[in-house]
Amino acid sequence: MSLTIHYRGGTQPSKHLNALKPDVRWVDSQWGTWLIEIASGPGLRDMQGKLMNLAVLLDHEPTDVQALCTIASEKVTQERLQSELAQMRKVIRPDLANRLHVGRCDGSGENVLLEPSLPILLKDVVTKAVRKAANARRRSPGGTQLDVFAYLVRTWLADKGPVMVKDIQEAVGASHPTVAASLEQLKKQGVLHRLSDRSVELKGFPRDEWPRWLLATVQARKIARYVDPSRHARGPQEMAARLPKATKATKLRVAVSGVVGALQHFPDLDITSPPRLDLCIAVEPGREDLAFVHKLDAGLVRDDDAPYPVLAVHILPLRSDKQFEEVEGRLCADPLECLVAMYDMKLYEPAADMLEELIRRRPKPVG
Amino acid sequence: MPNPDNNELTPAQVMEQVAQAIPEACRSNVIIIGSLAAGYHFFGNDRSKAIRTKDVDAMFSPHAMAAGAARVVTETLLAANWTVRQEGEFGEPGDANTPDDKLPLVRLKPPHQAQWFLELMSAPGADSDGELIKKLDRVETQAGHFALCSFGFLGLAEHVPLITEWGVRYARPEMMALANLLHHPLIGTATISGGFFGATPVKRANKDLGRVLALAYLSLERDRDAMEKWSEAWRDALNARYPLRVEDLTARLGLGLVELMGSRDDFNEAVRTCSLGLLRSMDVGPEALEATARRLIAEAIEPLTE
Repeated sequence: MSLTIHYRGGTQPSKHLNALKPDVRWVDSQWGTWLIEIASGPGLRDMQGKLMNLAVLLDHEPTDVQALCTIASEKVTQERLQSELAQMRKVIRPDLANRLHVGRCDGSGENVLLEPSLPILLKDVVTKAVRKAANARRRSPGGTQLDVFAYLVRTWLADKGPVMVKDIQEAVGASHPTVAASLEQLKKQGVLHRLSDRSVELKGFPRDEWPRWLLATVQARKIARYVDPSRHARGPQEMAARLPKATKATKLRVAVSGVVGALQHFPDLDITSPPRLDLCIAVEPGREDLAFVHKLDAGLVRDDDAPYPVLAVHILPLRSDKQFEEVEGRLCADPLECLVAMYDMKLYEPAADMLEELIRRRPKPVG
Repeated sequence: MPNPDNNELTPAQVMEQVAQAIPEACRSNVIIIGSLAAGYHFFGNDRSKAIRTKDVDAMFSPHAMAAGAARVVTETLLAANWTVRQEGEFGEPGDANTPDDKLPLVRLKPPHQAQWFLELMSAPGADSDGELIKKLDRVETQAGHFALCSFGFLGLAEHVPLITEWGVRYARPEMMALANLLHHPLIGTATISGGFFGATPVKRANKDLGRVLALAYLSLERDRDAMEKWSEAWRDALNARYPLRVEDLTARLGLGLVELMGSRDDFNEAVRTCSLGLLRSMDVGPEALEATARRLIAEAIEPLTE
């Protein structure tokens, strides 16, 4: 038996378009090859993305390879998991659907529950993977390849010219291998220009990689979603206006994002009225304090699986705080962040329009 | 979601019938409270939102004129073929020898219809400090003696009441809500039975606090900032009515509601009374009323205690 655990630190894209390497590839002489993903919950949203990812990966594997997605959360029942899998199997090609499986364990990786037909040895594999993933998250809250890409795009949009590799490392908080791998990949795609002084620059806007980055960023992101059971929530703009008062007692810096943030950056943008309020907070892992939401609107209820929340709080790594900026007296996430939120809302056209506006407004080189 | 019966009267129709029946000289002494006041305020003549108004509570105000005005109204209505509603051991009017606590309340049924009856009440005296006791005033009419009752916080209904097009006034929803909140700082054991709520007795506190939630829900439907406006109005009313007890009263304002939210059985009973009462024509479930309760506490009650 061999076990390879891929750390998701860099959310490293695999050779397959739009698919990420699984958390674990388990190879056993008796049970064959298994791709394993661990969803950290607490809701099913993370799992839905990972199941989809596994389906894409399976499509590029030999037909005897199987896949298991395990959610490490006590909050999701086995029945709900099976129902989720059944839904997923309806929309996936049957030859792939039958090779997809789901399981559940508690947050520490113990008490793994699998379908009876699956190899019992998988339980140990899952437990180890959950523990290692948790340790990796604790040890390394550093930047990922997604962050490296975002940093390069931001630098290009601001026309800051070439940037030293060590500066990227410092700004993103990523390890040298993470930065190097990311740059290498962009170079292979032909969108990165390497200079002799160890600086790099995007040759242009990386249009091919951009949608993949958006998808991966949304999937990797923790978003606390809130619904309004009585349909009396204030509108997104009104809620945003109440944000300073709601956060007054806390040191937390909460930035407005999504459509409301985009309109703050580009008031003339021809964009739909905001369907929800998006906010960003930048905190250490596990330190998010969302008590301010109660002050914003005590009637809201958190449901991270909600398809149409009235409020979405994007929980970003601490260093993301640097991307918050004051616009007309309001703390806003930068335009790139706003685009991520719009993508999460499936506002693809307005997001594309805003992106073009961003590219159009890029400062022109002098001379 | 129940559909209102086509034969049911709209709140505005009932309000008009009540107002027209009351002698013009006394109309300005009447403040309609309870479900008719709320139904009229929120639904008016909307047939799709008809509510089942069984007892129309008419409070006579000010207290100094209540017994006199109630006497005139009672005699006028009885002369117009209204009848005394008799229920249980109460009903027959008393006489000079009947002790106050054995007198029937003034409950009068209009002729030719059985949908609702009028119950007369009195505003508390100016010396009332909101104690939770029921006080009775004797009303001597040509038909016999009755009692006019008043409750401690009923006086809040007198605070800046609204007026109908027929000259009678009705209590503001937020004042009825405040009176109910103050009346139930805890979920007591007292029950009511019969009426809309079926054979099973319902805790009075659950019914009254459920009414608070229904009023808040309907107000929020109209104005998302309603709870903040309630808070301001409550501050004014408490200072005007009970200037010496403001701190004490605000401190206990939300206690009953918090207790209600902490008890699944009580909360569900409160929701059921709403579904059979003011929110009958609307599909409002427990999750929505829980959200309403949290907003009420956060935006109306907590600012008063800060």
